[in-house]
Amino acid sequence: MSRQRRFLRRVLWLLAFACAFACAAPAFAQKAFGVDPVAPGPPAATGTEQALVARYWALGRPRFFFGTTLEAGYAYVRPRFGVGYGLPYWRWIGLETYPIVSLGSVGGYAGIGAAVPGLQFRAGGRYTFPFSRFYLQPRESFTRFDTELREGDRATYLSLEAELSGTVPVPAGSLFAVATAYRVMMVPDGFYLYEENLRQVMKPPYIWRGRLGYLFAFGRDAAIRLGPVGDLIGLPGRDEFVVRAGVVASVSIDAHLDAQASLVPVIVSPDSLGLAGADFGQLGVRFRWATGSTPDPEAVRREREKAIERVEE
Amino acid sequence: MRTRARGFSKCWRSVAWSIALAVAASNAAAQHPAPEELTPAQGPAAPGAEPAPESEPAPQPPAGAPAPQLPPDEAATDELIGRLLSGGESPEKDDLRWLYSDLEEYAPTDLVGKPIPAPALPERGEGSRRVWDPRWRRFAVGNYILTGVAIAVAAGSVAIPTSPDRWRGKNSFDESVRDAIGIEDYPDGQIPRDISDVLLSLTIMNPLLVDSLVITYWYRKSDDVATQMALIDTEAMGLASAIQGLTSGFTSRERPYGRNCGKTIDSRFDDCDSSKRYRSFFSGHTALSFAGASVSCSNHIHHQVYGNGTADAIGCVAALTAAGVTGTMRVVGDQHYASDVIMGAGIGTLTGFGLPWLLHYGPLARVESGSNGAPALRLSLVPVSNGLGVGGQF
Repeated sequence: MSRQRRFLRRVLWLLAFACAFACAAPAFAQKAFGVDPVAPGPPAATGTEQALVARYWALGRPRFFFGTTLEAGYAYVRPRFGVGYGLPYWRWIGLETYPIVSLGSVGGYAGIGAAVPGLQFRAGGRYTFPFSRFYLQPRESFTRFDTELREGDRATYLSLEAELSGTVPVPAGSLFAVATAYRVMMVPDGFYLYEENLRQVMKPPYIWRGRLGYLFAFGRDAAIRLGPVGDLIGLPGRDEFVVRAGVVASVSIDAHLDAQASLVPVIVSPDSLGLAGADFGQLGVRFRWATGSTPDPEAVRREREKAIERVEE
Repeated sequence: MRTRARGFSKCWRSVAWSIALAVAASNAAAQHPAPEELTPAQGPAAPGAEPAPESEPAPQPPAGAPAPQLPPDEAATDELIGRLLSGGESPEKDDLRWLYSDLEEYAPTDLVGKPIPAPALPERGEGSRRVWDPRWRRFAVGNYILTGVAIAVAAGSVAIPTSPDRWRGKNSFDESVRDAIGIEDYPDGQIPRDISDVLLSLTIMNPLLVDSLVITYWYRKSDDVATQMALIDTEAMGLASAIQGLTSGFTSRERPYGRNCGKTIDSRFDDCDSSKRYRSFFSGHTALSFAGASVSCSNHIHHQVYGNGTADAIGCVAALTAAGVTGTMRVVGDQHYASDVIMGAGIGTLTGFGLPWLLHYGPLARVESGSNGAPALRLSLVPVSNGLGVGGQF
């Protein structure tokens, strides 16, 4: 059996395991241990996705591809699937989708995506059907208790969302930013909603987030990244803002695999949600893969010679 | 306000409990049998010193260099690239490490062309290698089955129906500890509950993410040991989960706050209105935290993950302390009784230390030379009249 087929088989096994684990993990954590994941899924994108693309992905041939990104850690699994044209993760355009499968909720996302070096855009719709979240009665301030009361109708919703993330080189590292806007639909008039991705109580239909961060690059290959990050979340319906600040960290294991961590607790908020309002969910790995991702030898040779020239200079 | 202040004061007092739990666990660690002396070629070096690099020394190019200097001979370059792209192991693979980095591509100017030289920080492949001692039992089919069954049992334990009246009795020890360090006002207990969630995630991910992936696989480039370590971590934590899931499901003990549901706590609250109200015995947070911390200690004992006896000992004690604080916060946050936490700490420590010792590192699992790999203790699945059984052979 060829190396590629063996690799593909391993990837398929990995994906199958990921899907099974995605189903089991929340149940496992939430019910068996009484361990409460603060949200049924991982939080919204950290913004480091585009800042941490190895140039491995730049040296392939433009092509039609199928790619997957698997994020797994405690206690989340988020497999993403994409088809498109170009150099995956580097310069591409295509369609993206990911399932939301847990005992906390089911749903899914589908949309379009595109990237050029340093800039990524996506837009699409996300449907969420939670099992144990309910629409919230309006009030000035919410505690975690208020968001976990079992009363009223189940808080299903459809979110139309757009996100632009970018990164620019600055001394000793890179600056990254994310702009996110959601328009939430299917929520009855007069109710609030706990939005699962940004983890805030909102009055529909709008919620937005701006994130700015800086990643110091350490070491020979800039494999270790660490830096501060801040969020400003707007709740236009409630006429309120939330400020979160914390750190993100990453270690590039290879071109496919990163270890990553983030802790971005709430600094200013009208609510008292504790960790349920924070961005704490990235403590694990991110694995990227795409068909035909082996770099073009000619491009590798060209880049290597340029690097050697730089050293000799 | 007074209640909140009292709550925080109880938090501080609870530190004593954490330390007590950690000390008890580290005593258990101290009694763990020391690994046999191994020659450098066979495995880890003596504690207290960074083991010498083995036959394959790590490359040490200068910090910040975009690529090593090799003659730009076209044929040699093509051959090198061919070897790399074929996916096989190649001693020159590090020559193309820059493929893994993005910085030069984003930063073609001198302004940002080089990351911060940080000699104190580890570099990819810089650490000395770790080799699996051939006398240690590798993760095999039986271990995969055990791990898979354990995880399935833990997940399946969700289906065990709750019996609200099975265990509501209280005892004076649990009540006195609850009175001493528990926060009475349930919403105020959110902070210790959040702390326990954060610490649980850290203690679970530490052996997998830090010990195995980042240090052993990335820093030490010891793929084989990293894989074995991660599998053993999963096995130990999976077994702890299975024991906890079954026990908490069948005992159906009501959590401490349960008595206040419908009184001071709204009965529509998810914690009151779901099965987790009756999963008190024993603490899953504590069991998993101690399992993660203990299996991490086992890694440090057998593989000298940090390469320094003192650093490894500190890492081990820190993990156990975090597990101790996790357990204590469960009592402070009114999620568990002290007896739930003590049992959880015991089971977690036992599986985290005991399972790797029993199945991989200890004398019963040892692979004797000349025995064709047969273990001193062999466990096997055997068909019996009404299903499968487990048989053992010494």
